[in-house]
Amino acid sequence: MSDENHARQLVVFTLGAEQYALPIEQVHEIIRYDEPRSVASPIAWVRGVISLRGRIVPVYDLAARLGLSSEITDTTKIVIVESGDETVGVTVDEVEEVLTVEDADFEAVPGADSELIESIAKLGDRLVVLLKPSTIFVGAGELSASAA
Amino acid sequence: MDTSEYMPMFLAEAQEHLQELNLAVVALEDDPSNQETVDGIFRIAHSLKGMSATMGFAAIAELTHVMEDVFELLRKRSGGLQKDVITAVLACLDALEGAVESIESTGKENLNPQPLIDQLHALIRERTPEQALERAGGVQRPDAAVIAAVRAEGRRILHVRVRLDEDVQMPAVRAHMVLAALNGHGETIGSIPAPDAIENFEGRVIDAWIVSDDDESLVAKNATRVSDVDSVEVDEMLDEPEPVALPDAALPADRDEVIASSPTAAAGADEQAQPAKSPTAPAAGSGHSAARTVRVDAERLDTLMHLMGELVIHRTAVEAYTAAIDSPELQHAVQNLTRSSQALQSMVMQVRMIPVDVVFMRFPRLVRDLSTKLGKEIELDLVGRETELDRTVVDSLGDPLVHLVRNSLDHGIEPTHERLAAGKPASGTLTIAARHAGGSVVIEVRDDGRGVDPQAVARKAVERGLLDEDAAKSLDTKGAIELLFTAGFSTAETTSDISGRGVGMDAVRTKIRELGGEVIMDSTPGKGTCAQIRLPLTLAIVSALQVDIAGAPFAIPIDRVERTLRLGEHTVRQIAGRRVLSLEDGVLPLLEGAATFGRRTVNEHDLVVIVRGQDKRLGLTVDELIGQRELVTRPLPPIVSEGQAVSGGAVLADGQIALIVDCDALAAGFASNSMARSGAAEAPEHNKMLAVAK
Repeated sequence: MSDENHARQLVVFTLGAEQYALPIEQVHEIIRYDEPRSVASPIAWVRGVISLRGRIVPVYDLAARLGLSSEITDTTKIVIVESGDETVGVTVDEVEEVLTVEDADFEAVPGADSELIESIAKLGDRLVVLLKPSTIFVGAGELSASAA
Repeated sequence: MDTSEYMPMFLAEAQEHLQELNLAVVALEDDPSNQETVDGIFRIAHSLKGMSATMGFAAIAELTHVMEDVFELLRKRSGGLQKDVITAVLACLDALEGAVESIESTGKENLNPQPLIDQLHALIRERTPEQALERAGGVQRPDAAVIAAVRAEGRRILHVRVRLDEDVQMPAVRAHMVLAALNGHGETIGSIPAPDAIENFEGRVIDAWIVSDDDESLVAKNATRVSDVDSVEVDEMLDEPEPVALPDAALPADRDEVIASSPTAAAGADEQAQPAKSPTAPAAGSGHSAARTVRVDAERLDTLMHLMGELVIHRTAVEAYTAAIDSPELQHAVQNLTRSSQALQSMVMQVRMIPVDVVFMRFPRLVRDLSTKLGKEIELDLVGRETELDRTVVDSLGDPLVHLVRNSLDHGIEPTHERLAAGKPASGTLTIAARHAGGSVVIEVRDDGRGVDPQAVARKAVERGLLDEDAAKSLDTKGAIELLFTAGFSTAETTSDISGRGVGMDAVRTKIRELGGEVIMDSTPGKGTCAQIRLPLTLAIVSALQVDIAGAPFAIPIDRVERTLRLGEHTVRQIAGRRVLSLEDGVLPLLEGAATFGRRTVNEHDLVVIVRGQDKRLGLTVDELIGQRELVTRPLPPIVSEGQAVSGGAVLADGQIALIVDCDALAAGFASNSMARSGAAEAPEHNKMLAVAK
């Protein structure tokens, strides 16, 4: 029991050459990439909207959100992330695996953008950046405030 | 007993009961003699008491119990309710509403009923000096044997009821004088107060029974001559009601005053048709049709609607695929599927429809309270209460309507003296009317008040810095109304506690636009103001013209589309750097679809859709007209809809997403000078401007 309490399951994916992860509890599903319906958004990393079983869900370009660059390829996927009432999709280059990571393997972020990054898991020579889902769901109100 | 399971039902029913009570009490004020209303009030108070006691809300139960007692008394008393009784009862209703709200949010009733209970008891005591008299033995009713003897002689008995002025100084003296005056017309066979108890009389109502052949009007005339007499009613006593045949002395002496049978009720001929009912046996279900309805959680209806929407989408897809397959059986089956699902769809829509009366119900009370407070005489006329609307629309309609009504009462309708000076009837009329008009519902709030005064509006606007002096001079009514809708404007001379609550007409407009509707105001100085709200019947399904703009689907609500035309056949000009379309019936702004919606490609734009928004017309270039569609609207994530002239999205049969064009925002965007330039690079900026304009 105690082991499980101190371990987390992460969905690991790549953006460019780096590995990132989201907690599995908040990943609803992973779908193949279809070009989202574009919307004229003032925010560069809003790619558009897709229809997910009747709902209209926004899709964000996660790489652009993190200040990276990436291209749409055959392996590109949309990870559907849920939090509370909100559902968003984020684009990732390739989904790798689901990893169980002990708490002890997480390290604080050394001076990095701690708004988006929760911590870093160090697994041997691999570094997996754990993202904060809460900041992916940043509300439109906050956005327009920061964009203004 | 765990009652939490029943809580939502309790809350819903309690709120409904309170609303009905409010309505009934105000109705009773207008028509105090309506026994049905009194019985209705009694019945509602009774069930409210039972419900709250079951749920363990002691304070509510206690208060409703006393209210029930009061109404029990009132329905036995003729002559209706005094205004202060109504005011006290309404205060109780407010307290109960507060308690129910408190239960909803905190689970506790948070109500101290004692002050209100004391107030109610005081009312009953104050109003019943006659009863006190009766208990003191000061009542002499006509003896049944005497009545029979008089009738046998073929003579008639007159019942005279004399009301003294409320502020009469010496009621005993006046009562003596009244009885003396009546004695001149014939023998007095009974009176309240009894002749030997007159010196203790402190009431305001005197009843007497005289044997007289004199004309009723003559008797009344003589009785009226007595000082301090307010009114006199004389009528022939017909059948003697049963209760009087029983001597009152038979009542136990300690019987509760409240339910003691009132002497006036027992004797009045007009009340014989309404035998007093015992408080434990309220009128059983007279004209009450609750049995055949089912209360459903609104969320379930929303889910049903949502599923219905998906079914429509799937059906359209099946229809499209079937068209390509040459199979008569399949075609036939699909046709049947289509028919059934359309029937289902219209049924689901119907289930969601509720009469607009649900919103209207609050207005009699509101208007009564406000007119009392403002000291204005106002008649409320509710028209088209049965007009049905989608539940979601009705829910959101309350606040804007309340604001419009407050505005009319506060600023529109003049005080009585002003109205009389203007040659108008003393009491103002406020009409709230609902009707269907095509796919829309139109709700009007109309008053016959002073109308919008452009000069007053101009002064205020200059004060607020919304207008410069020059523009103020030439402001007309139309411009003044537009200013009323500007944020931060209020015409109240002084900020009253009625409409000066920090929300202005701009909030009304914003709310109605959110619902996909429009508010138009029209005013004639000196004659009145009419605010018209036009709303779609339902928000869930929109009938729209699907168009293609730079390769992406958009939908324009069909009720906003005036017509479509080809650009080549009409003149396009440039005015101040903007493109305008010159038509026979006017010059319209012309918006480029691709640029407006931030598309990167620019196409031919041969087609133009003329749309209406915000009372204006404008042309929008599109690349292709796809056709009319019934679309199930879905909210857009705020992050993608913010600052854009789109009000929602819809999933098309092929899985594509069409954005629903917000024509009002288009018009507003144009007005704010932000749409003139084109090009995707400008998109972020004009989007922000649009957000402001909305």
